Amino acid sequence: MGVGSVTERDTSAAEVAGPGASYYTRQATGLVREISVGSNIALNVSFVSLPLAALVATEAPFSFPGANPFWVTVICVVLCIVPTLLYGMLTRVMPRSGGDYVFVSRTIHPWLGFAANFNISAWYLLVIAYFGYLLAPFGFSPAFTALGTATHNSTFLRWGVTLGTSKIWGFVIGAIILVLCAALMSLSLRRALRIYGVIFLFSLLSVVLSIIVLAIHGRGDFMSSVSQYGGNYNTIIADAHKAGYAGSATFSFKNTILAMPLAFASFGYAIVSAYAGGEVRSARAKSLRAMLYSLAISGILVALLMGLALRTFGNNFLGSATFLSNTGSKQYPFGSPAFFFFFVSMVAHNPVLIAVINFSYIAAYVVALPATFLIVSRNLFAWSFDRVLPDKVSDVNPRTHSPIVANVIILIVTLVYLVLIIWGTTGFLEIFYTAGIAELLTFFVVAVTGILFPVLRRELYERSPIRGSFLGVPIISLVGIGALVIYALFFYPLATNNALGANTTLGWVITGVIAGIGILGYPVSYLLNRARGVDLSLAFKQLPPE
Amino acid sequence: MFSRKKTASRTRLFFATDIHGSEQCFRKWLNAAKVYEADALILGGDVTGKVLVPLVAEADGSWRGSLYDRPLHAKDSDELAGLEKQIRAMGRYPVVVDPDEKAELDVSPEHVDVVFRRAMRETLAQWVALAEERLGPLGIPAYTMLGNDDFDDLADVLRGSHVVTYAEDGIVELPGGYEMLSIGYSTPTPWHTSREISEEQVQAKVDELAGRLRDPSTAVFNIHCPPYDTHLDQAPLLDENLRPVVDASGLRMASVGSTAVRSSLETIEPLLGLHGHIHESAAAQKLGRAVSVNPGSDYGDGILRGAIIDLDQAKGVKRWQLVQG
Repeated sequence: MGVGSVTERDTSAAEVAGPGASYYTRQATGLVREISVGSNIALNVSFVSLPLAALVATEAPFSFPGANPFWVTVICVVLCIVPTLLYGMLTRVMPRSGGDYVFVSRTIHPWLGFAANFNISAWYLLVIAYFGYLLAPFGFSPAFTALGTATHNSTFLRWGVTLGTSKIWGFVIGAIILVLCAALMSLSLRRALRIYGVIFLFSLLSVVLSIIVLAIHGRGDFMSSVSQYGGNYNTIIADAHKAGYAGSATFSFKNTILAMPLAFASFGYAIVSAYAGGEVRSARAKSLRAMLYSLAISGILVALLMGLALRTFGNNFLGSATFLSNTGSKQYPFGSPAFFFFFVSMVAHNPVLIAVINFSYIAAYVVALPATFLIVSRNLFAWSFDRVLPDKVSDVNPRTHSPIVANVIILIVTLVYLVLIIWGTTGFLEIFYTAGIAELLTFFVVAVTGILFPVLRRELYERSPIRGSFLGVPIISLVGIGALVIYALFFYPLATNNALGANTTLGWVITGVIAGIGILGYPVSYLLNRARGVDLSLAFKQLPPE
Repeated sequence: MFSRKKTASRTRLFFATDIHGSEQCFRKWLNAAKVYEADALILGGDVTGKVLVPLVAEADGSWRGSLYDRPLHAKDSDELAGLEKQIRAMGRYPVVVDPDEKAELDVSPEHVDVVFRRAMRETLAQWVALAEERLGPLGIPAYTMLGNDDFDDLADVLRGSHVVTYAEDGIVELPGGYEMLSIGYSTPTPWHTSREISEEQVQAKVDELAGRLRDPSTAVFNIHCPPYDTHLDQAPLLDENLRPVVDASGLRMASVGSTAVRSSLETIEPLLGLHGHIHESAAAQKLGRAVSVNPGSDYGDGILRGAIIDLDQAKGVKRWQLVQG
């Protein structure tokens, strides 16, 4: 028997208390200690893609002239506290993995739970494919261009140009990484996750080394590097302005706010650990605090990166170079697309350093894949176990015990997406930011779930560790309202501003089609199951408790 | 539930497990018979709770305690009853004590043990009485057994009922003539719980019971421990301090089921495997011909996770569905 203060997995008994113990435990299965704050922070930070947050440095001043990437990061991180709190609170009440699917299904209705979860899963798959696509032009191309320049190696330079422009190579590299990812997840999950852990740590090197390089090298060094790479710092700015770029060194608060969805693409997903870490319940606020610490740590690191980028590269240059690069201007002097880590490589000079920075950045793309892959495959299992999808979907290979059917589905869908991104209309290429719009639809539903939770699941709420009110209103409802407003703040610029291309007609059509499939999917499955004698509505139907 | 048409060849089972002292889950289990139109109710092992919550009598006639680090206070006996109900619903045992007894509980694990065992026994006795009251008039058979977290001596309480059949370590006949063997022990866990046996002993128990079946191919294997390396047995990997292992890929999960259970299901190929033990691993999976189910457990939230299974004389397991009631 143990005497202790207790939290739960079930119930994670742990810290042995003496006199004054508020409860007592016995020797029983599932009494586990809480995950340490350090481990919890690492878990959450791993879901905030720090290297990908660097996209803000180039895209913010390009798409929103006058937007300051440093303040974009800081404001976004502060705003993301509220949605992170919401997910953290919901995870404390409904800890099993499944994230929004479980939150929404249990609180409102499984129909809405499925529709919301299907929507975000479908877009996660598109993001997986997009990362596969980005590998060649924004991973390998800058790596070889910078290496080629530093070592005066023309082969590397040629590879840099080819990988930055060839659709075939874009597809080949993207497809290879998608197939490898599916194969790893199918052969041995444990081995795959170990490899993943190593790649993740390697990917952080790009951030650390970039901070050091940018701290050492100032604007003058960078201007010389630009010349060494065949350009002229001031000419690039002048050419961009001549070609129509409206940016300047003047700070624009409005555009800084409008540019926040760029940073949200990274920081908004700190909540993803609700899917992965949810098996262990914590009745205490420790895990929630860890989520917030993670957000703060990630935010400080990226803000530091952005601040140093502004000092070394200059906001006007970042916007101008990205403008020339993205518009395909002949005045763009470099062999690789405008990109934060490419510019860092330019001032690094040392070939080994350049290689490490760039390949660790490539690793950042790679690590983004398995975690997202796993989330979608878990969602497929959850739908299958609830009979919304056929049980075949959760079949495992008898030899490897891996979820082969789910993985094949994910691979096929991501490969189709990859083909559409590369060879589809140009609009498809811009759909990356449409994912922001579409995924926010699911986040809206989760925010509403948080608002309604104390009303719709009163009994569960009353017994939960998150019970508490402010001025008579349940705190989770207030947090839900806050999250809804903040999500709307991220949604608005994406939906109304043309700069990011998130609101193209094609983008809206695809958003509608995917959301429509999610909305129709449940009733269709309901009818098909009913014909077989299965009533899907029972999956989350409450039994009388008396 | 499924179709409302009831055919003579169909037997509907409702299986839940690991309710760990949650009175709300137990009451829901009893009510599930009507809601899901089940022909038989089965409650897997681990029926007892793990946590004792003291409510200490104060000099002013009120009672104080805490839950989730939040203070609890009952000013009168009605409020005290409300608090006790709330605590029981979560699978915890409320114990009303005076300050002296509280002090003794704080320093004496032996006394905690005595109070725990008393609470378990009294609660189970109340549950059996409730089951007789609710299920008796309906004529719906119900089956229970202990799990690895329960104490052996509690079997007496469950055996004493004329409505609820204690199924462990034996073979019972379910409606429709299906035989069900039941084993509530688990393989060793890091917690060294009261009812753990080795893989070899699990295998011997399965072999012994399976040898007594008329037709193993139409039998139900109600075995608390899930089969190894399946969707049903994934639990967080723990370090030597019983702390979940986390790495960059997230929470590390590991298979913690029984190899003996797995090989038995694959070689004997019964109709159905009913399992529990691993609360976070709700799933169903085919092993050989057998459909194995672990509905998982959310007893702490008062949510009854369960599995509705239709058995058909011609088709075997005709349908299954996991539910969270």
